[in-house]
Amino acid sequence: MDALGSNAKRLELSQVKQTLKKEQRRLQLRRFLSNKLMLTGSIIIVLITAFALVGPYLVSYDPYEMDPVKRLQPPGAEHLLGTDNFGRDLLTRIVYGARVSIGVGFSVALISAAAGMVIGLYSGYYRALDQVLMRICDGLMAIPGILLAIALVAALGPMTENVIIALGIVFIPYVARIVRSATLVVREETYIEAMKAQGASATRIIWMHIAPNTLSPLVVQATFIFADAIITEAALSFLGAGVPTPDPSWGNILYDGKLVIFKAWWMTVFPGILIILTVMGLNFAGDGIRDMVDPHSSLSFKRKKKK
Amino acid sequence: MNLYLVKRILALIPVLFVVSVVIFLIIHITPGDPASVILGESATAQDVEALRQQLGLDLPIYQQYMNWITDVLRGDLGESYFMKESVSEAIFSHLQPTLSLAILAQIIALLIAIPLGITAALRRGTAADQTVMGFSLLGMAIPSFLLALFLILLVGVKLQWLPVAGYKPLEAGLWNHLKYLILPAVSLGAIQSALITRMTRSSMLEVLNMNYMKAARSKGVKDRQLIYKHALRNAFLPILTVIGQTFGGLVTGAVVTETIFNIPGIGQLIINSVERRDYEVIQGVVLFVTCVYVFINLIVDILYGVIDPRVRLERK
Amino acid sequence: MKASRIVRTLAIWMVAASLAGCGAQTAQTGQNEGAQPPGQGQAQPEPAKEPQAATGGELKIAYQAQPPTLDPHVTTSQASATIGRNVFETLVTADSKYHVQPMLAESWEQSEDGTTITFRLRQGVRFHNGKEMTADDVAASMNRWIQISSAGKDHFTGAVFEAKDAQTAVLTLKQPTATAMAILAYGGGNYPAIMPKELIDQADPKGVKEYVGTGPFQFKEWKQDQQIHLTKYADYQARSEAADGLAGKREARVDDIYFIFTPDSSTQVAGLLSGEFDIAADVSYDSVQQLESNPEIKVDVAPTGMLNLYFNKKKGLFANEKARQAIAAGIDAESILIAAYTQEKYYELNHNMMMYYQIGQWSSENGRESYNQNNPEKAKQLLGEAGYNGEEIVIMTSRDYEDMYNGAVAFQQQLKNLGVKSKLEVYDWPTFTELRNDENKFDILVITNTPKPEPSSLAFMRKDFPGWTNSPELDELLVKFRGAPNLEKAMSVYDDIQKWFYEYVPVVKIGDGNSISSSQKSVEGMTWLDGLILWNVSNAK
Repeated sequence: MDALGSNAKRLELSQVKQTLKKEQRRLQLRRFLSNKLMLTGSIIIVLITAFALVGPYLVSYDPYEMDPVKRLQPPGAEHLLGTDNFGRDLLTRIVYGARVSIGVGFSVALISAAAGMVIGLYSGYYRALDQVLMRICDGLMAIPGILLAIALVAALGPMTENVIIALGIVFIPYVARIVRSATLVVREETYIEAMKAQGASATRIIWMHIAPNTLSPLVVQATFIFADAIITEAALSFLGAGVPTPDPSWGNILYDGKLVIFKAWWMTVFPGILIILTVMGLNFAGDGIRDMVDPHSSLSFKRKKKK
Repeated sequence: MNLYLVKRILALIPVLFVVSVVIFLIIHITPGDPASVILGESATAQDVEALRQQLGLDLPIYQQYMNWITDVLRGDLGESYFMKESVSEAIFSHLQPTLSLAILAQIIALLIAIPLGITAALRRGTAADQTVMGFSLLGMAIPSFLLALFLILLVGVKLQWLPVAGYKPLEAGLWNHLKYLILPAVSLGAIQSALITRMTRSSMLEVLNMNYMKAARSKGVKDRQLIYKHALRNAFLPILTVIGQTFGGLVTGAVVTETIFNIPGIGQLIINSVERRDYEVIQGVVLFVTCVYVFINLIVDILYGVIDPRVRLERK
Repeated sequence: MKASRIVRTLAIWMVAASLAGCGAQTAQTGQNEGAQPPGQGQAQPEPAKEPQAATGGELKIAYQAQPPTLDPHVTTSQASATIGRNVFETLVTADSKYHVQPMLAESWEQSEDGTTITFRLRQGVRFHNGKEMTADDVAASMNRWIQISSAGKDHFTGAVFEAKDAQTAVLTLKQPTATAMAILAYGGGNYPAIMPKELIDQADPKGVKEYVGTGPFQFKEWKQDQQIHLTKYADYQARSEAADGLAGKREARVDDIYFIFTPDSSTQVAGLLSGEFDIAADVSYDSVQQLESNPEIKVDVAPTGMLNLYFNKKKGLFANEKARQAIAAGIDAESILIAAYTQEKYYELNHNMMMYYQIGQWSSENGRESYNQNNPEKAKQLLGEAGYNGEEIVIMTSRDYEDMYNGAVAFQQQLKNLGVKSKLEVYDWPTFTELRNDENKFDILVITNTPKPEPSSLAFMRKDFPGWTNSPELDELLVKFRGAPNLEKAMSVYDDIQKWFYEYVPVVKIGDGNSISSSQKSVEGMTWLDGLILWNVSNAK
């Protein structure tokens, strides 16, 4: 074969590769689109995120602006969703609250995923660490989540940052467990042993080879934690132990609304609907990702604990 | 089997130890203490400090923990700073409402879920099936406290069928007792109900398609008999698993529900004790709830092993 | 499918066993209750109806706050006082005009120099445990009160009660105290109740071990977080004078009183409307509409406290008097009061340091023009003079009290309009009571103060109460005030004290708040003085 011929062959090869890749991507997209669950979930999430990000620019009121004379007005022309017990516009508070609630949920998912991953990887890899870390995780998981969260926020102080930290701590053990299980499985693979024999450092093995294999269950879990965190933050704020006044969060609005529930149903119904939609969207997305990633898990259960 | 049991129970000890340390530390780091609550709104810092010393709250944390944990190991959970009873007495007196609530929630969940699941399985693919699945998806997405609020609005305000808060003990009559627990039980049990519905449906589907079912049908056995004798029995195991895994969650979910509906159970006991910084009670109750939680998981595991020999054999 | 059958039966037995176990537990407590009808709200006929409908029956009161203890010497809690005063009595008490009247003491005499007060006690008064009350019990109780109660420590330092004989107790004061009798007659939190000497001796720092008093009702049972049950004391020795405020004849016109703890306002209202409760105390302001529109329900208004802004005078911007005067000048009290109390009839704009119902006894024209100035320009100017540079100031309050919380949120908005940057920190009560003692943690506190029988007892007068008032001028005035030979002379110093109040500005007074109580039509005779009065109240149901 002369040089010209091999070049041509190479071109052919790369063309084939390109077409293959395009086909792959198209297939993936079709899988994604046909997975109705995933699709619906993602659409909902995108819409609500847009609502949170763009909303503040579209509303004309200030979420802190009080008008005591106009307290507890039902939804109407002037205030689309009504006013709260201080006369603040409810729609505005819900929009800004979306930022807080979703922001908290997202941060918590991120923190617990990151920290949980590290803990899971290292306890899966090192026996000694495993015993200690897993006992601690078991202990943390045994305490009912909401109680642990209330206690942590009470101890740290009523600030949104502390709510994020507290909830992060509550959810880390769940991620750690999952990552650890995956690590334990991968660790036994022959290629890992081979690398060890070749002298690869533990860090390299853990991060370059084991970690990528834990990503799929991690992402699924993180999605569900996102949803759970939003719910738990709402519950905490509803109990008065979450995001502090006068910052709006969906749970806060429910807290203020509980006192006047018989007079002002809008303060309960509207934030409630939004919470449900967001959680549903996240659940769908999580289910969808899991279906795509691990088709054998039809009998396993989504959430380890209920509120 | 026994060795497995023993190993599992031994494994609980370090867990409980961790729990005791974690909860003790967190509570004692929290600002505020029972002394200031006892003395009331107009007390000065000096008064509070004096009472703290008398109550032994100014000892180093390490020492306070040792005092507490040695008492616990002897079976003494301590005394409440506020209630004239020991922590154990407090727990028992608050247990009945929570238990009634959890059991009622469980029963309601089953009563709703199983018929729905069966219907969905039998009419697979139809509108009925879609509706049921839709409801179950909704049920899994609503947090129980939100459902509680909606129920209060709907049933309590608009329809006025049931009382929206309060509690009457069993001695006041069964219906009186249950009346106050229905709304909270429904809101607690909704998620379980959704999960069990789906579980029932998929187990039923699985079994209905099996060969021996087709064989029975061809022999002329009536459908209804088939369902109840065979399909449901096989669905029993996975349903039991769901119950076991989520019953513990019911008990802990009671925390918010009891607060909303003003039911004097364990959940409210904890919330009130946290509010008052009644240290001994908080610590004792959290330990107790943790034990229950862990215990239930253990029982479920064992039952699972008893019922399904496949699982038993799989265990190391 | 044997296994599943086993499991099913197991499950049923487990459930049955646990329910039976719990049932047995409660059945036992039921037996311990003796002949009392079990539980609350059981649908059973009333105990044997008396011929007149004016006595008998029960009062079920929905009460929001559960007191930490009923021992009045230990706690300043108002809830404790309102409930406990049915069980315990004091030496002297206040009538509707706040004049001191006899209760357990028959009469008293003050010595010439004002340092000794001799109390002659009533004869034949029995405690709920049957023991007869003597001067020993009085001395033991009063000395404990002096030592551990806030009021005792503040106003009676070094004072001692002695039993001269069985019917005479002598109080020896370190210095003449004009306000002594008024404070002893106070019926609100931390009141000086008389208890048996043995119980006093056995008490520990948490309180007495049993609640035994001389009042028209006796303590029966306290189911934590649920209810307190009091029953009529059959051997109660009432006074003969007509009832007037807290003084005079006290009669238990119902057989049982239940204080049922309902932290949730909607439960209170729903229960009142459905007839489950006879009285609802401290109803939430937003729930009143439902009650007022119902012809079967009566709604009453009673003073609850003064909404004040406390300044940190130890550290920070507000150690400077000008800064405090600036805030005083810029506040629009009315809009804060509306936020806190929701409607005009639930608050009073009152410039006096004491509450509106005390006008006539403790009031002065001084300071009227400095109250509720609502002058933002003046405020900004004063702030500039005080050297305010745009720093963020910290406002702290508790979320457990509706009026404090709502008032604080409204106040923060107003500060914004004055160009002051601020951060609002809201804590639960125990955290709040701890943090407010730390001068590094706040600049302004938003608190409601309970009313007091005389001005020198007001919280902000104390050097050690958060805010840390430190004014030599006040010290002088207080010496003059307390050392006055009698109450009338003391009252004339009040003018000067109020003048000081508006110059030094220890706190900014926003206004007086009312609380709402509501009852069924069938409940008659309920009045208020430093708390609901439940004797002489009948329930015609």
